Amino acid sequence: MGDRGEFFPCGSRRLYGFLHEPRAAETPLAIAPAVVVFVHPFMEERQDAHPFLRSLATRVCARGLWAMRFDLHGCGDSEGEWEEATVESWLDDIAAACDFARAQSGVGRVILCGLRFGASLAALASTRGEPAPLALIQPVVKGTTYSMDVLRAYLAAEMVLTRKAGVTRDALVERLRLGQNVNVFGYQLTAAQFDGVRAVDLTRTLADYPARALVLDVVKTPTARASNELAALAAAMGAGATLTRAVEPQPLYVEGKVHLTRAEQVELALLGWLETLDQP
Amino acid sequence: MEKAVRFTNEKGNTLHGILHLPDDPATTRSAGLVWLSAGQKVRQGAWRMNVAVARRLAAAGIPTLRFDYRGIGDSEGEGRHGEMVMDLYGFIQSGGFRGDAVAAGQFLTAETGVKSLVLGGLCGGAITGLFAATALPNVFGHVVVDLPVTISSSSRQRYLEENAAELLRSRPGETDTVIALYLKKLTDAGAWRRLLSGESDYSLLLEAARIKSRAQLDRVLPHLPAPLRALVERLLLSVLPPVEPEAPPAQVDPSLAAQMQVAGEVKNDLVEEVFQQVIARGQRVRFVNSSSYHPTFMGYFGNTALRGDPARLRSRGVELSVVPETNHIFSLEHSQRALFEAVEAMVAQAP
Repeated sequence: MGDRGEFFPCGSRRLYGFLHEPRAAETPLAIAPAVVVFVHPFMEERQDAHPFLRSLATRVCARGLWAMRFDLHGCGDSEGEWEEATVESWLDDIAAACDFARAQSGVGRVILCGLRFGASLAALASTRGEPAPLALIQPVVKGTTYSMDVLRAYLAAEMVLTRKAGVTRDALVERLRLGQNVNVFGYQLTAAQFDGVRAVDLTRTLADYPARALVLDVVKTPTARASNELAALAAAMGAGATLTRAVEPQPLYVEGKVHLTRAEQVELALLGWLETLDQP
Repeated sequence: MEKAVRFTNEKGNTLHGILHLPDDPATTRSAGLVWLSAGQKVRQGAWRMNVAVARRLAAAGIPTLRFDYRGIGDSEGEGRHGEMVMDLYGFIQSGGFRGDAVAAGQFLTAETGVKSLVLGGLCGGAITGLFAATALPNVFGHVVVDLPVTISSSSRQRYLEENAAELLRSRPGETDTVIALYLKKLTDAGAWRRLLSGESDYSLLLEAARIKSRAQLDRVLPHLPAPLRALVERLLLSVLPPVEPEAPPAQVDPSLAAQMQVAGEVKNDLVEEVFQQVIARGQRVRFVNSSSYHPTFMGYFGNTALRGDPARLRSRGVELSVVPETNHIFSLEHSQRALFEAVEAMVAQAP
């Protein structure tokens, strides 16, 4: 395949992936061959994060590793509709993407890297089989908080359109409980998705994580307060986890005033962590 | 049937896209659709709008291509890293991705053998299609959704932001929205942190509160005795100045055009020029506007370019529809349906 998009199978459906071949690097990473599989964030955040994930993948393969980006079921270019997918089906997708990346690259070792809810999914996927090295960029740690943020986005959009506060978050939750979808910026959020998101608790799931991990906090300024939540996550994961932070002028997953296509500090943090993977 | 494709633009960049084909080749029609991305967004569009459009059309027998412009999404090319987003919009509104859209039309024609093309898209996609049409010999028509009719720039954006409170006075109808959005921030820990650290600028909220207070005052004032009313007016004039009523949404009436000239907006003259070129070639144009964007469209374009007898415009293949209660990304169910129907109706006419 090599630096081109391709559909690959995942059960009865096809997912879209983009495999980046390693380049002949002047300064290759001093680690055993590996393929880094990137997991994108949720809903509209996937769109705005795309340039950063592409740039990360490009930088990784420029240092001699394979990299693969792909779209989860019902997301991006992959088959299926958004509302058909569940957290469980997305975990199946990650497994299929890892298998495909291994088969195409001929490299057995997979490193999972995710952004926001993609990081949470990568973390959940890594606990299903043999734990993989994990790079979590601004992961969603608590699904209960995040699910409410998603509904909050719905309410803000409705207010802008109707010029008045309409339903409450509790009413939206009730709507989901009755089996109705909630349209969040055009995505039909289902009760199953909502419940799947709410069940995420990385501090519990990743406690004493047996493989190496990076927890990357992305902040706007050098003086910004560190995330207590991410510090607690890294502490819970144990000695294999490294907590670090990168200063970026704009969030990686929402459109800012400046059109940014790479996040240099995040790239440096990821590459720096990858370099240490095979060190004792 | 969807397949990943790549083709080359006139600059030699490899552009990546997805070609949607009918599952049954026997049902394939002779018209194809190039559905163009809006601005700097990747080829799926907001809420995967572009995927949804392409799948519906392919199911109806229409080969449909959607792709990333150069430097965007998966496509090669200069990424314009570090450019102000508003300047990138301005680049697109000036036909910056015309060559990529032309290459896409040529690729779809060559790859599938379609005889005619429909070009369409939302916002930046809509205008890019109009720009590309004059370089493609087989364009039948356009689906033009929320066509950008002003020209964006970072300097204009700065002006709008720096004068937001003042500009709110010309759009008092927005006041409730501003207040509601700020009230929502009461439950947002981040907003409180920004307020306490002095990062937040609450001048817009202050202005909204002033406008609301003045509206309340205007309801009470007529009931006061004249001397007292005059005293209150005088005392409060500087604190709560009177607010002019907001101009009604523009209809197809040139006299309202001037009222739509909100300070800081700049008309994009290229839009009318390229539109005239398109209809001079006999290409059909179906405008679809969201209710939220329609007044701007009319004020800067429709009131002049679409003036005259609607029947005559229709006879030239120009139609306009407005989808009520709709935002710019057409994310609500009824607006999604209206969008799909507009695209299907245009393609159904293509030979």
